[in-house]
Amino acid sequence: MYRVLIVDDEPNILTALRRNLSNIPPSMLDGERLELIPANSPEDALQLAVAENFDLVIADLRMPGISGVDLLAEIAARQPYVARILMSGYADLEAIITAVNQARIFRFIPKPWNDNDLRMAVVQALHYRAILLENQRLADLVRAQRGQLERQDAELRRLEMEHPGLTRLERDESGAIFIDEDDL
Amino acid sequence: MPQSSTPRLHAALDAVGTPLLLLQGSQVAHANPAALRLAESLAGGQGDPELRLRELVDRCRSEHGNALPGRSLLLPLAGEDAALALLLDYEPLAPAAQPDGSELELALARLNTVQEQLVQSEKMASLGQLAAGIAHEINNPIGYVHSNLGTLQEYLNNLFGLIECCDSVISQQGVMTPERRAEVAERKRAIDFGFLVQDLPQLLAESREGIDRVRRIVQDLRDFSRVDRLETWSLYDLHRGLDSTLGIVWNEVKYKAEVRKEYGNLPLVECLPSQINQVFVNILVNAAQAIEQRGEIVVRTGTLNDTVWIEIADNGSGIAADNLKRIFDPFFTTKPVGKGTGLGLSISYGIVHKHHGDIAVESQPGRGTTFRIVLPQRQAA
Repeated sequence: MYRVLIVDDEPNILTALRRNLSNIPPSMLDGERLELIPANSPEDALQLAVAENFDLVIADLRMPGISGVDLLAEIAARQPYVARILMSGYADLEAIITAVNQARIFRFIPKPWNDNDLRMAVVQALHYRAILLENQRLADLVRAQRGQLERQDAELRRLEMEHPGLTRLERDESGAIFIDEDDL
Repeated sequence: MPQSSTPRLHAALDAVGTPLLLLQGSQVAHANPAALRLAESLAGGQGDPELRLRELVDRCRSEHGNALPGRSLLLPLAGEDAALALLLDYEPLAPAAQPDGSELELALARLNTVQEQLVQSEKMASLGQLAAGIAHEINNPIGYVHSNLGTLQEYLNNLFGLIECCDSVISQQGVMTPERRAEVAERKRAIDFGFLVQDLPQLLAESREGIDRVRRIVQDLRDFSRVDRLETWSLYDLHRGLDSTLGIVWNEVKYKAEVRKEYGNLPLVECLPSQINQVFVNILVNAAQAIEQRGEIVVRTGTLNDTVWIEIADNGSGIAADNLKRIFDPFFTTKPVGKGTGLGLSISYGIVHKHHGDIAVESQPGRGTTFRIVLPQRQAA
């Protein structure tokens, strides 16, 4: 289940997006389904984002109170791995620049939108996010394993310092320790 | 020479820096101060001014020949770093052909044209600034109507599929078996028939509303610009003007303020509708911009004797007393560069006065601003 937060102050946009996005076949989403959560105002969206985690946020640019750019930046501060898509019926260059630089959006979708383009953007955003998360998980794993290795190395070195030759002990099949006669 | 024009001619000559003598026959009728100074310097400051002037003229004539062609001449004086202009038997134009105001009228007409152009370009500039909001207002409904049509197509494909399924079941001979019933039921479930039945009318209603909104915005734009009509003095419903103007600026206003209309009973008012709408736009946009977070804009109208009044009041940041004195000055603006031309209110002032009306402002910093426009119901013939 992918959780997608949709934010627009225009209720009809929310229903149109719901109709459109609920038709994405699960086969395009690694067999997952989309759960679409509408928010009619940026304030509602922020409240939801404090309480719950989302995989993707789609927000309108021009909304009362908080702009879409500020909203996405704010949600990204709380949930860094949430994918972000901005929509707008009109945006000048300045607005798009701040959207990319500040809110680090994944896609900008103009209104009126092309239904297929929007679905593709949603699918790609979720894939991209999954790759990021996977990448993060693997990097953590590597770091953790390397950390374990380093701890083992350090322990071995300490033992070797205390009891030289200890780490180089050899045993026979029965577990008895070989003792080189030269060392005695 | 007509008596009345002489002092004017002399005054004009006196204002010229070049030494000038006005001659009538061989008499010096007038010498301007520059000529007097020249004559003085030539004579070494001695003797009678009249005499010195005569000497000056004689000297000119001797240096440049007696027969002076033409009526006015600029004569360089040999050996002097000066020139003397002579006006010979100069007669100002006859009274009938005098600057009887026709030139002034021409200048006035030209000024009026320039002002019309200024009003027009200001209107275009403010439309340009409103373009973002208008595009947003139009693209939102178009966006969801367009998307809904795509969904509708999918719904229809599903419904056609269901009809085909029913058809094939019906056309099979024999009684309705539970298996056939189940086939139809399965098909219905697959297309989520229940949801479809519930959602389809809603989809159509929303789309219709969207199209209505676009239609209204286009209508408002047309009312605002009046491009479909010649701009002539006409009887106009100011409430309609206010409403269509609010439609144009709605995207600037709706995020900032609730708009409360307290319309009185207004008669039709003789005015230039698109120019009056322009005044409304300027004041409404200013009102919205004066509100920082969320506020209220009240639009009131009413009549008083032979006039109508329109009040637009906001509870925004207000205008400092120093600025209040200058808000109708051209190019005066407190908005950041690119946000205002500084011409809006000055042009509004011009428009209202062209209507023989009055525009006044009251403001308290921190409390809000009220503009009051008073217009006569009819223009004097």
